[in-house]
Amino acid sequence: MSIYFKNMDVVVPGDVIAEGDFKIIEGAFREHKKIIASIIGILYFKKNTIRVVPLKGPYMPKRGDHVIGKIVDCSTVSWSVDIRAPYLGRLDATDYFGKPIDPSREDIRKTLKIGDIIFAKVAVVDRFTNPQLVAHGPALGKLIKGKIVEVEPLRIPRILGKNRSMIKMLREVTKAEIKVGNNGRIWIRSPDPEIEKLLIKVIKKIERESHVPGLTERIRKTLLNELKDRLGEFK
Amino acid sequence: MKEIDESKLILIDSNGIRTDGRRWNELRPLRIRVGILDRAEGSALVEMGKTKALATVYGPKEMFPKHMANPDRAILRAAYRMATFSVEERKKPQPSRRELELSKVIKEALEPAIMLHYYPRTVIEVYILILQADGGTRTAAINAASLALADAGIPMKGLVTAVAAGRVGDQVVLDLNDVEDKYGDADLPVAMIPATGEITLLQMDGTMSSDMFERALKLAIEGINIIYERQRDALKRRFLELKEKILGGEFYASRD
Repeated sequence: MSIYFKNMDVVVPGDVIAEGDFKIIEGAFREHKKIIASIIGILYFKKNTIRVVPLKGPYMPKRGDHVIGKIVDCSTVSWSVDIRAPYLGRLDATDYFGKPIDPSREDIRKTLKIGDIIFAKVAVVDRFTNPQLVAHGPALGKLIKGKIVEVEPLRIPRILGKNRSMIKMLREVTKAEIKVGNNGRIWIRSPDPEIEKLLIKVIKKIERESHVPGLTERIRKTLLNELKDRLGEFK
Repeated sequence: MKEIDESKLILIDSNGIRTDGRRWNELRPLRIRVGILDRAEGSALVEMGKTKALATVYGPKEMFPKHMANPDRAILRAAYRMATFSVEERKKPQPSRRELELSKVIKEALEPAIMLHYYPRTVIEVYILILQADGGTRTAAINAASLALADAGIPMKGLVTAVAAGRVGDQVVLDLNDVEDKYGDADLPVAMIPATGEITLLQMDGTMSSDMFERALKLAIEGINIIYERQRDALKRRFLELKEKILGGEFYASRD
């Protein structure tokens, strides 16, 4: 068992990370005894496990992910949803209404039209069919009004923050509704359009400056400052 | 177009210096930049001497037409094009026979390195544009394309690196330029996955004795190892910047 890199080094495809019995979590493959990186990322090992965390890459839907999707097609019993992945999501009418529907009586296009935005959960993913979505349940369903911000999907953990601290803080301070999709789309809605604008600015700031320590506190301060000015205007 | 009098052309002089001042085993100056375009998922610009190749990667994305999708792996599409201003006399923009053939050859050189089974039923598109041509465009194209693929975050067995070796008179030379390619005696482009030692492209134009072929292949592999190190450096540099930008030290805590 030997390791050729330090923890948190950047590795590129083809780099031999280690030799021996390690468990690979992601981002590497085994050839004979060698463990070779398959993507660019940061090497991270703990005890016997090796993981290369990608810095950039396509969004691949996983079971249990929350996604914000756009309806792109409609059949009699289901919708096709663009979820920013290589595959279109499939949302059955049953999984939107929560009960079976009769396509000869009901026209599902009246409920969700092409171009509508939904907040859904990925229910099933397999290699042969498109990911199956569910949009029936608490907090899931059609998103009305509001704005959508797109960020790099791999930066979503930073927007959520440690134990979702960042997102909690944003909701608390701005009193806006925010929904975060793992596919890198964030939906915000507030009765005050200025707050929406401010939130877009702040989310872009988080995406850009996520390497600065103490980000949550800094973002809270900027937010409060901006809001104070605005409250002053109203008085 | 400048006419070159073949009888007066000296590809290697008595001191062993080639037309552009290199020795037989020297590469042209190499310049690599990764991630230069925002709209593409991955991009890279490779300059080998005066040859400049720009590669961009899109995808994986849904395959159209759908009946061509492969149910158990992604399909790789490569398009090699020369810009109209890349050569001395304006190149017609219509894809030529040569460009179609090189697209196929490049696709087959990259395919063994990419883990296409990660993305069933999709397509990964690689577009390569030669901005300036001075010999060895296919090898520069392969170098750029493999970097762009890695930049896009697509899982690979390793980078693909390519360089040409050849023969001028009875001398083996490395990394041929345009004049050596046209008036030399043989040209041997080689592409390889240095991480596993697999050769993914081996073509030859001209004639070489079997002994000379072996020497040329060995020389090309030496060249490949040098370029490979430079490719790794360029990628790492790009991603160290990204790492600074994205993570800082807090990343893992939020992921676990």
